[in-house]
Parts: sequence; C-alpha cells; structure tokens
Amino acid sequence: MTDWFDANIVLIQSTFVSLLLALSIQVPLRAGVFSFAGIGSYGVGAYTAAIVTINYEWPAFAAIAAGVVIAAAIGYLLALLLSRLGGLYLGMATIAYSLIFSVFVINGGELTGGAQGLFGAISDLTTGGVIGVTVVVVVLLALSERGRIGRRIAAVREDPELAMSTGVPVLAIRQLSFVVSGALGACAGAMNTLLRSTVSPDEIGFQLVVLALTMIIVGGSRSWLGAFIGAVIFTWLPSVLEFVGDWQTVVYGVLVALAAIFVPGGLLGVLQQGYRRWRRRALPIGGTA
Amino acid sequence: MAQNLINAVTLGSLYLLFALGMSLAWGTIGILNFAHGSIFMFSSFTCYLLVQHIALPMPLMILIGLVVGAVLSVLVQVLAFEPIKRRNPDPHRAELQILVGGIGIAGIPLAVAQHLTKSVPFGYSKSTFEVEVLHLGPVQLTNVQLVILAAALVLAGGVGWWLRSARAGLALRAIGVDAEVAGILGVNRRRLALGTMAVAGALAGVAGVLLTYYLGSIAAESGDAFLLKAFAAIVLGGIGSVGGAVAGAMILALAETAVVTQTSGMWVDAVSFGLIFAVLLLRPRGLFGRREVRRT
Amino acid sequence: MKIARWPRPATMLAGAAVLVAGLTACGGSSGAGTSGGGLPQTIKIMSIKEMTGAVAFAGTNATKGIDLAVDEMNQQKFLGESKLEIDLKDSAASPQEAASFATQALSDKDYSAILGPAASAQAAAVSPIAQKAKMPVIYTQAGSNGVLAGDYTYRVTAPASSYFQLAGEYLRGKGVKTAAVLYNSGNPTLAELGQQTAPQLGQKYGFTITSSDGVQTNAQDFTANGSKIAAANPGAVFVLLNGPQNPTAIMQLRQNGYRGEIVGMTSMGAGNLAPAGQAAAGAVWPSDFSALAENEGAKKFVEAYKAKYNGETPNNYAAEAYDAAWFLARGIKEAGSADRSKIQQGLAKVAAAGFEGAEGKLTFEGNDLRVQGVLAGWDGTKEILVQGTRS
Repeated sequence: MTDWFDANIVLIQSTFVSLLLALSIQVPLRAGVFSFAGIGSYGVGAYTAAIVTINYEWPAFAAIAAGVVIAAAIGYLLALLLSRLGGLYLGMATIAYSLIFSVFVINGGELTGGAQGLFGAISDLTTGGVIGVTVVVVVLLALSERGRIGRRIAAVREDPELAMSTGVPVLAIRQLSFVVSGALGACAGAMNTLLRSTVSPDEIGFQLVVLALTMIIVGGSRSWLGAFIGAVIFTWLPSVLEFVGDWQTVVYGVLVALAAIFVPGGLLGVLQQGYRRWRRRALPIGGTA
Repeated sequence: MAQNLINAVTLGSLYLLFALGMSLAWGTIGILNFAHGSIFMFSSFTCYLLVQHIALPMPLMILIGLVVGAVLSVLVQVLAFEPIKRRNPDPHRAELQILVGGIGIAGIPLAVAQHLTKSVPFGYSKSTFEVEVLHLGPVQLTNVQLVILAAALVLAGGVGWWLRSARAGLALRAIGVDAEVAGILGVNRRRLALGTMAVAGALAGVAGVLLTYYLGSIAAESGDAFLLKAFAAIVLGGIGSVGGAVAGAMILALAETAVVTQTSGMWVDAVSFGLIFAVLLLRPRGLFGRREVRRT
Repeated sequence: MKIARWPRPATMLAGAAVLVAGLTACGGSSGAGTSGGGLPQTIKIMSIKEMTGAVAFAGTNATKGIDLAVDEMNQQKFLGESKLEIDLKDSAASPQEAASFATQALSDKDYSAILGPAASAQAAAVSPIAQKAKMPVIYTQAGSNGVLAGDYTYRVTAPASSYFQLAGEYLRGKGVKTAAVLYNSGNPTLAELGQQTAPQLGQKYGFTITSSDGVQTNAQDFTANGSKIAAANPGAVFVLLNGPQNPTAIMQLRQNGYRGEIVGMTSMGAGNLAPAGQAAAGAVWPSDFSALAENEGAKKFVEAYKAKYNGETPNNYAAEAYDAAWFLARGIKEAGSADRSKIQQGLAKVAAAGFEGAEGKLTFEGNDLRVQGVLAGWDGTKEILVQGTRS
C-alpha cells in the first residue's frame, strides 16, 4: 500500500490542491456570486509563495499565509469594485482579472521569472501538511453548509431581496464570499508551487478556469462534497484515460459535455437522488398497499 | 499611420465576423456558446482537408466554411444546448450548464484537429488563390484584405438590416426582450433559435477561412485565442447589438494595433482583458447595449 | 443541529475513489531489482514525452528517434545480451502528469533512468524530484534555467545561443549593418535569443539592433509588426518565433515590402515554413541538426531513419532524442550496471569524453550539450543546407 502511495504521491497531493481550487469557485457560487476570481488568486498565491521562498526562504506555512493574505485583500477589493454586477457579467469580469494577472506575470521581469516562471522554490511542505490544511478548510465549509448559516447563504443565492428583507446581511455575505474565494484559491496555488517547486505562467492561464468549472459541474455545485468528487475525477481521469491513447482529449471533452447536458446536479446530485430513492423504498411511508 | 489603420480595420473585420454571431446568440436567445472558437477553427480545418485533395478557389472555400460552420453550430444547439435548457428551467442554472457544456464540446474538434495535424499549423497553399499586393499611394492592400473588408461590410450590414426590418429579425429581437411574451405572441422560438445559431456558425466559418487566408496558416489552438477577444469586443460594444459588435471589434483592433506599434507587443492580451474589466466596471451594458445588465 | 445524513454517500464515494485509484495503480510492485554488478536481461527506462496536446510534435518525433536508437543498439548487441526497454508515458503538456510519472519511476526499483519531457515547465518540475531521489534523467529541448538541477540531470539539446554565431557569420558575410528583432516573449529560449543573444551577435559581427519587438506566445497577427519593420527596412530581421508563427510573420514581412535577410531558429525547420512557400525563400536559421548535414553521424542517422520510417526525413527533435538515447546507452555500458548511481557516473565519463552522434561531434559543458551546429535554409519549397558543420 505504501508503495502505491509513494508512486502516486503527486496525484494524491494534486487531488487536495484541486479540491481547494474547486472550492474557491464553489463557495461564492453557493452564495449566488458567479466569481472566477479564485483562479486569479491561485496565481497570486502561487507566485507569492514562490517569491518569498526563493528570495527570503520563508518556511512553508508563512509563504502560504502570505499568499492567502494578499489574495484575500484583493478579493475584498474586487468585491467592492464589482458589487453591481451579476451573473455571467461578473463571471467575465473575474475571468478578465485572472487573465490580466497572467499577462502581468509574463512581463514581470526578474521578479516573476517572465516566460520561464520561477523554479527552485524548495520548501518543507509535506503531504501531511497539505492534507491537514485541506481537512480543516473542508470541516469549516461543511459546518457552514448546515444550520442557520447554511440556510442564510442559500437565501442569498435563491432570493436576495427576500433575504435582505428578513435581515440577512446579503452584502456582507457576498463580500465575504469574495474574500474566502481569494483565500482558498491562494492556498491552493501556494501549496501546489511549494510541492512542485516551480511555477510558470502557462499553469495559471485559462485552462485553470476550465478545470475548476468542470470539476464543479461534473462533481456537483451544491456542496463541498461535489467539489471533492470533481477533484478526484479530474485528477485521476488522465491516468485512467491513458489507455485510450491519442484520443484521450476527445474522450475528456465528451465526458464533460455529457455531464453538463445530462447530469445538471453533478455526480453528487445523482448520488443524493439515488440515496433518497433508496431510503424511500426501504422505509414505506403511511399505509400498506 | 494609414497602413496601420488599414491593418487594424482588417483585424477588426475578422473580430467582427467572429463576434457578431456570438453576440447575437447571447443577446437574443441567451446562449453563450463557448464552442464558437472551435467551430471557427474546425470550419477552416475542414476546408484545409478538402483543399489537400482538390485545388479549390477562394469563393468556394468561403462557401464551404460557411456551410460547415452553420452545420456544426446547429448540431451543438440541437445535441447539447436544447437538452440543457429542457432540463434546467432556471435560467441561471441553464446558463452555467451551457457554459460548461460549450467548454466540453469545444475540446472535441480541437482534439480531432490536433490529432490530425500533430499541432503543426495548416494553411491553404494548395488553393488556387494567389495573394496579390495592391499599392495605393502610401499604403498597400492585399486582395485578401479587400475580401475581408467586403465580407464584413456585406454580412454585418445584412444582419443589421435583417434584425431591423425583416419580420423574422424583429421576432428575434422580441425573443431577446422577453422570450415568454414572444412565444405567446406566436413567435416560433425553436426555429428562430436554430436559425440564429446557424447564422452565428456560418459567420464564424467565414471568419475562419478568411483568417487562414490572411495569416497564411493557423493552428488547431487558434480558435480559443479568438474566443477571449470576442468577449472583449462583445462586452465593449454591448450584447445583442450589431452596431455594438462593429464598434467593439473595431475599437479592440485599433487598441491592440496601437499597443503593438507604440510599445512592445507583450501587452496585447492585457488590452482585451483590461477592456473587459474596465467596461464591466464602469458601464456594464457596453456602448450600445440596450438590455439592462442584471443587477445583484 | 441535525446530524449529517451523508455517511452513506461518503462511504460510497470513498469506495469509488479507491476503485478509481486502484485502476491506476498499475505496475507499482517492485520487480527483480538490479544487482550490484553486471547488466540484467532487461533494463527498463521510462520515457516521459508529450505525445498529445500543443507540443505533440516534439514528443512524437522524439519518440521516433528513441525507438530507432533502441532498435540499433539491441540489434548491434551494444549492451551485450541485455536489452533496453522503453516505457513510454504521455505527459500531455502537463507538469503535474510529468512529475507524477517521474515519481512512479522513482518508486519502482525496476526503472534505471528517465528520458525526460521536452517542455521546460514539465522538465523543471521533474528535475528536483529526480535529483533528490538520485535518478538519472536525460532531457531534450527543455531550454530554460532550472531544468539542470544537479549532477543527475542532463540535457542533450545544445542551447541555441551556443551555436547561434553561425547566424552572425552569415550576416557579416552578407554585409548587413542593421537588424530588427521580432521574438516570442512567452518562450524562454526565444526570449533569451531575442533579448540577449541577438544584440551580443550584433556587437561581435558588426551590426546594430534597430528595433526589438516582443510578441506573445499566442500572437497570430503580425501585420502591425510587419509594416513597422518593413518601413524601417533594416538589412536583416531576426524572426524568433514558434513554429506556427514563423510562416505568418515572414509572409507579413514580405507582403509589406521587406526585402532583406531573414534569420530564424530551429522552429523554422521540420517543414514549418511550407505554408509560406516562396515568400520565405532565402530564410536561414542556425540549427543543431540538418538532415542534409555532411558529417558521418548525421548521414548514418538519416539513412537508418528513412529505412525504418518509410522514407521520412528526420527533424531535429528526432535527432536530439536519438543522441540522448545513445548517450544513455553509452553511460550504461560504461557503468557496466543498471544501478542508478553507477549509471550517473558512467554518464559523467561519457560526457567528459564526448562522442559522435546524429548532431555531429557532441561535447558537454557540465551537463549541457554543445554541438557545432549547422546553418539551414529554405529555398521556397524545401529545406537546404547553407553551411555545414566545420568538422
């Protein structure tokens, strides 16, 4: 078992990083905020961690924290700037922000390593650390999905006007979702950079947006569990598809398209429906036939 | 200076042809088609495959590109977007699903083209068309550029007139304003939606073929780069407006050309992204957009 | 607070995840292991190449070169009775995948060495892992810093700046006094050539750089650059772009009336200029390999390649990978063992001595290859040799 663990350590680490990335989009989505700023935050976190590790030799958690703080601050700024937008417009504005960041990074000269990116960010981050951070995050998010907090966030998503009239702090929740999204994205980016010891502009481009979206749609956008399913699938899918050979990208695209068309609630939705149907059959309600 | 202007207008015309269909579909039937870039590239690729066997003249190539683009676009609408809309009555959910569905589908033509070309660029050197350069005083113009400018003028003008005057065009605009009411008033929404997607795809196909002639060759990945620029043009000009698409495409092309000639070319992408961000920040409905941007 | 009802779905999920993971845990168990001395029957090498995706061209051609080399050495019994077995993994232009395969190779005692990916980002992710675990890895292409992370990492593609003086000599021969530079700023190798190497050549060979324009990796439209440069009309233009960009840029330059010299990079080879046709006639580029080169190593390689692959002419990606595979084989033979650290020592010895390969005479500076280089050109329909190696 440990042999398998060692051999696949990169994919295992990648699953947790991808989970955090997916969550950085899923959390605002839960509050009805269609923001992709988490992707830009991934880049911010990745480069910040690389820069402080290479130049100042900060320990792993300090480097990650630095990225998280900066990205969260930017998230707050975005929240203030883009508060009037909704739906796809907000999505596009935040995608634009993420992509502008990659252009800056390519033209950043010595500081960001330009087109090459940065390498040699050797740090003491362990797989255990990564899993630990992810578990803490997930627990906090899971708690926020139930009880009063969960219902309030759902209210902000479903009917903001009604929520406001019943005293739910709609604006604050929205702004908080921007900040949390920034923190999560930066955490993912910083951890990935410290594990791989490199970061380059190609890694933080548009394909990250695509990856995060597909993880959430295929996995399920209602809960952290959906993001987890999505992260597992899309981290391990390339290895599974390897036997398909040349056409694996086609299969990939087809799978994503099929999921978007036929499985709107994501796999999580399917599982939940199946579970409910099973429960209903197992426990007859009311009178017998 | 004048040369740069002509080049910028040519570039803008290509952006216009590409973005017009997308803007139309988004503004009227509410479909943001992420597979548009792939359709654009694949129409050009199909022409490439054909021209390898038979030397075809340019007008025919443009026609083939048009047809392939229309067919692909309609297929995507029927096989993917219509089922999604059926299963997702809530428009927000449907939007998101359509977005992702488009992304997934976009990967398929891309992968096929990449596989067949091994990512080597493809061009129409076997076509019967020859590039000729015309000198008009201080500037020069190639015949490809003339064709592009003419095509953009005719097609965009045609679409604009049709939306304004033809009955079907008015019906389409009605759908854009309020789909439910339009349906009640007897507009055949499905037929118009298919027609719109077909026209969008056709425009993209023409743009693809023309771009390939203009640049000499494109690669399988070229479609996606155009997609992001199209967003910038559409957002800037205002969604659903032909005049907006024209304005947005031209301004974008002029801005990019200015950046390339005045500074280093390394900030070109920042222009389109920056424009998107700035417009959404300051005037979300764009220059000519009429729809009110959905508030929080 | 309600107790969550998700234990069931969660366990279902965990089961599914384990299942998926189990499917991918192929070949993880340790095999016979390598003995201290003597070569085992089969020597397993992992080859991580981009076989699909945007740089598939590099990976697929490299694999052809490697396969040819392995055929030859097995036929010639170069390693005695032992055979080299290449395990090909497709990293599809993802540093994550490349790092993952490398880690798999490290944990599996059967793998003796890695033939690494061509993309710099992937290579830079693999190198620290391989160096730390003391696993020899040999790259082709992968031109950025950070790829050579220590004595276990080798690169068998000479940096373009090391043979680019061929372009300087050519331009001096043509009496060029001014030059413009058009380079891809998103590619580390091309950016370095454009920003540093070209001006240095100018100083040494007597021409001044009049303009230097960086463009983005995905730039496709060069009309603005083309007209700007054509208007200034320098004696030469350095066109340092990706494969797909080259023909477009050259056509735009010519259409805007530019008549001077065009100097490029290896990315102009391998038929990449075909879409430009006659417009690109006269373009030259320094390369580490040309199928028309006169030296013995190249001629033998081209002949063998054509025989194996139905008359197809090899390009530099295939030649570099061929030389990399032969470098590995020589290292193994020198070491007399399939043990990783012994192979590394063997490689070091072979590198110090140098050898002859498809790219001509090969020497090493540290762990980095140096070749004589050739000057290739395009005559409008096919590639030609402008200046051969000076051996």
